[in-house]
Amino acid sequence: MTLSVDNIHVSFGDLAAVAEVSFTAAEGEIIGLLGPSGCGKSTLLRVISGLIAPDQGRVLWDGVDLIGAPVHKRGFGFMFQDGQLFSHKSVAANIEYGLPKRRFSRVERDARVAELLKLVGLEGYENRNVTLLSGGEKQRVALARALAPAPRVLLLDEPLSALDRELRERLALDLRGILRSTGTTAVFVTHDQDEAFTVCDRVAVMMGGKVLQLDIPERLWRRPATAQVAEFLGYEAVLSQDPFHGYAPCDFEVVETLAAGGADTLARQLGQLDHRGEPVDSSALAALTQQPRTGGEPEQLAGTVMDKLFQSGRAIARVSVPAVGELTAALPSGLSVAQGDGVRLIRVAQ
Amino acid sequence: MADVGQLEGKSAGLSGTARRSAGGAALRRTLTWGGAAAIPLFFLGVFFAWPVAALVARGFVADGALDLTGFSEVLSAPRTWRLIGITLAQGLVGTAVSLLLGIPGAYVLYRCTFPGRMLVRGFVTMPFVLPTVVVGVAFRALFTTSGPLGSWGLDGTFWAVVAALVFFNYSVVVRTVGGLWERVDPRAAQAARTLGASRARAFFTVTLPQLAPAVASAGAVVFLFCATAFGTVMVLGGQGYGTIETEIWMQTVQFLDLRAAAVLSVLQLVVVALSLWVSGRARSRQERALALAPASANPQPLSLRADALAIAVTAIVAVGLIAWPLVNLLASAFRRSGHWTLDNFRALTGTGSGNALSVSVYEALYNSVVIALYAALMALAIGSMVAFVVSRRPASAAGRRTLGLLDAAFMLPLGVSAVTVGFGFLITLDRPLGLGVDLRSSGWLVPIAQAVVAIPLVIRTVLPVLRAIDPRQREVAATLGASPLRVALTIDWALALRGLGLAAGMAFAVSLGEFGATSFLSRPETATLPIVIFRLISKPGAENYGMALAASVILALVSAAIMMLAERLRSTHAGEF
Repeated sequence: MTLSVDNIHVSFGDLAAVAEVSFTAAEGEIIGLLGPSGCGKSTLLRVISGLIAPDQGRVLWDGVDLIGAPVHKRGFGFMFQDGQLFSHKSVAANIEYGLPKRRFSRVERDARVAELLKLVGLEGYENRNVTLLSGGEKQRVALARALAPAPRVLLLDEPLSALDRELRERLALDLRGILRSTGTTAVFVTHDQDEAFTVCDRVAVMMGGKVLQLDIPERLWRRPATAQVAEFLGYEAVLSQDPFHGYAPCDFEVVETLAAGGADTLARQLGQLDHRGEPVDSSALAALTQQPRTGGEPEQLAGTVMDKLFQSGRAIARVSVPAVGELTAALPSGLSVAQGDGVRLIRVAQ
Repeated sequence: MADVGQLEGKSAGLSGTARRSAGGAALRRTLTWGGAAAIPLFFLGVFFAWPVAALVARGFVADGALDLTGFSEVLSAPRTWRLIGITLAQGLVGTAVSLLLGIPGAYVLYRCTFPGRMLVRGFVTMPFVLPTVVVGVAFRALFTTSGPLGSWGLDGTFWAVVAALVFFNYSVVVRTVGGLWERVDPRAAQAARTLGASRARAFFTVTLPQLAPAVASAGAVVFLFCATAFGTVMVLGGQGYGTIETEIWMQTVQFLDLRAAAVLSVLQLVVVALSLWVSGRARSRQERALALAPASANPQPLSLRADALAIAVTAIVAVGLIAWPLVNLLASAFRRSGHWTLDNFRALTGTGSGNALSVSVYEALYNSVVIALYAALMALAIGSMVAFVVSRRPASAAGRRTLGLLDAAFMLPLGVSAVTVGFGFLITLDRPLGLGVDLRSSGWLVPIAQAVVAIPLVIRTVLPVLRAIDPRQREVAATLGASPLRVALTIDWALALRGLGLAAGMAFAVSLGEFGATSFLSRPETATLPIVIFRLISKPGAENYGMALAASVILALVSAAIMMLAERLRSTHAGEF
C-alpha cells in the first residue's frame, strides 16, 4: 500500500509549475515537501489530491493509476492552511461530513466524532460553533475532519502556517504524534524547515518545480546535495559546489580571543589569507580544509567579531571570516568578546 | 535532480484509459452545466429576446422587406426630438441632483458613526423599494393645487418629475457610493492631511478619486432609471409632458401606431445600451479598485462642526425630500374635502366614482399578491439557476468568457425598459413558438413579464453570496468524499439560502409594484394594484383621487413590510442594490 508519484509535469501557460517529480511514500510514512513559496509544492499536492490534473505523469495507489479518478473517489484527505471549516455547521457536523449516512449509523458516527475529538485533544467540543474557535482549535477540528473517513493518504497544505510560532511548534509535535498513532500515510507541504523536520520522516526540497533532494531530515541538513539546497536550508557559506562543502549557522564555536593583529596572523597560518594578505579563493580554502588533518584536529577558522546577539536561548557572535564571509558562531558562556576582537573558531559536532 | 532517496525511474506518461475517463468526466460536466444553463436561456429567449427582437424588427421591416421609412417618419417629426430632449434632460438633471445630494449622504451614513445610523440608513433607502406609481402619487399629492406646495405651480412639470426621480434614486447613490466609502482606506486621505492639504483639498484630490468608480457606476444606473422612468412620469407628467418611454405606450395604446412605437423602442434601446456600457465599465473598474482597498474597520464619529454641511444636506433630504411626501401622502389619504375621515379607505371596496374600475381595489390587491407570488417563484427559480451556473470558475478561458456572456445576457432585462418587454409580449406571444396557445388570454403573461423584470435583481442578490464562497470549501468537501451533487447541496445551496431569502423578498416587492410591462398586458378583471392606482388618479373626481391616495398607502405598506422582512434575511455578503 504505497503512494507513488511518477514523473508529474504541470504547467500554467509557459510557466512549468511542477517538472519531472517522482517519489514513493511507504505505508504510514510522512513525506515533507519543503520549498519557498511558488516552488510548485502546493500544486503537486493538488495534483495528488485530484483537484487539478497534471499535463503528464501518474499518481499511483498500490500500483493503480488514479489520474482521471475524481477527487471524491480517491480517498485522499486534504487539509488546507486555513482549515476551511464549514462555518454553517457545528464542530461535530464538520467532522462527520466525510462519514456518509448510508454507510454509518448515527451511533457509529457519534462514536467516531468523539474518538477523533479525543485524538486531537478537543473532547466535548461536538456542539461548538466553529466560528468561535481559536486558530489552533480550528486546525485541530480540520485535522479531525480530514482523518474521520480514515483516508488512504492525508495531504496537508501548510496546515500550521497561519498560527503563531509557539502554537505552531507545539501543534507540529502533536500532528506527528497523531499521524503516527493512526498510521496515516501523509504528504506535508510547508515552507518552514523546522516544521518539516519535526513532522516528517523524509523531506523533499523543492525549487522551481523540481525536487532537488529527498532524504531523512538529518542527512538533508548535514549533507545537502547541492549549494541551492544548502542555501535554502540557511547555510551561511558555500565554499565549493562539487564536492559540496559549506557551513551551516553555528557550525562553529568561538574558542578564544586573539591579541591585536592576531586574527590576520592566524588566518594566514590557516590558509585563509595568502602571503600578500589577500583572502584566498573559497574553493581553494575548501580543498585545504578538507585535507586529512593530523590527530583528529577540528577544522579551524580565524575572524573578527562584528556583533554579539542572543538568539533562541543562547549567545552567538557574528564573525567576519576572511575567504568565507560572515558566519554565526556559538559563544560559550564565560567567554567575553567585544566588537572588533579577533577570534579563533573551531568546527563543532559534525 | 538529486539521486538520493527513493526517487523512481521515469516510466511512460499518461495511460490511455486515464485519458479516456478524464475526457468522459469533462463531457459529463459540460452536459450537466449546459443543462442547468439551458432552462434559463430558453426562458430568456422566449420571454425576452424574441419579443424584443420582434419589436425591433417591426421598426425595420414592413411587408417582409427592409423598410426604413418608419425611422425617417418618426425622426423627422419635431415631436420626437422634443421627447428625446426631455428624456435626456430628465436623465441628466435627475442624475446630477441625485449625485449632488447622495454623496454627502453616503459620507454621513456610511463613513461616519452616530447613534441611530442604521435606522436613518434604513429610512433613506426605503424609497427604492416603493412602487413607482406610489412615488408618483405621493409627489402629485404634494404639488397638486390643493396640496401643500400647490402654490409653486409645479404640478405636471419637469421639476415635479425630477423631484420624484431624485426621491427614488437618492438611495441608489447613497448605497453604492457609501458601500465603497465604508471600505476605502481612510489613511490615504489622512496622509494627504499630514502633507498639508485642507479637508476640502484632501477630499477632492484623494477621497473623491478613490470613490470615482462607485460614483460613475451609480451615476450610470441612476441615469438609466431616470431616462426610462415610466410609472412616475405617467402619474406626474401633465398634459403634453412625455419621454420616449411614455410615448411608446401612447403610440401603442392610444394611437395604435405599432410601427412608430417600435421605432421609438429602438431609440430607447440605444440610450439604454450606452448607459449600460458606461455602467459596466465603471463596475469593472470598481471591482479592481475594491480588490486593492483593505476593508477599513475604523469609521469616524460624526462631528457636528466639521461635518456640518454634509449633515445639513442629508437632514434636509431625509426630512424634506423623503419624509415629507410620505407623511403628506399618509395624511392626505385620511382627508377628504378638508375633513379627517376614513372614507377613502372605505371606498376601496368599490370600483370608484363613474365606475372607473372593473374590480374593487381590494380585489386588485389580491390579484397583485397572487401574480407577484407566481412571478417571484419563477424569478427565484430561473435567477438562482443562472447565479449558480455563473458562479462557477471554469479553468478554461473559453468557459470563463461563456459565463461572462451568460451573466451579461441576464442583466439585459434590467436595462431594457419594462414597456419594451410588455409591448414585445403583445406582438409575439399570441402564438408562442408557433404553438396554437394564445398566452395573452391565459393570464400568465403578467407574472411572466414581472419575472423577466425581477430576474436580474435575483441574480445580483444571489450571485455575490455564491461568489463569496471560498472555492476551497468545495474542494475540501470533495476530498472528504462528497460527490459534485452533494457539494452543490451541502455547500452552495446551504450558504446561498441566506441570499435567497432577500432575493425572494426583492423579487416579490418588484413584481408587486411593477407597472411598465403590466400596463400593456393586464386585463381589466385581473388588474393589479399599481394599474388600479393609475386608473384612479387619471380619472377626474375627488373620490377617485382620494381612493388613489388610500390605495397607494396600502401598496406602500405592503411593499415596505415585505422588504423589511427580506432585509432581516440579508447576510453581510448579499446584494448589490
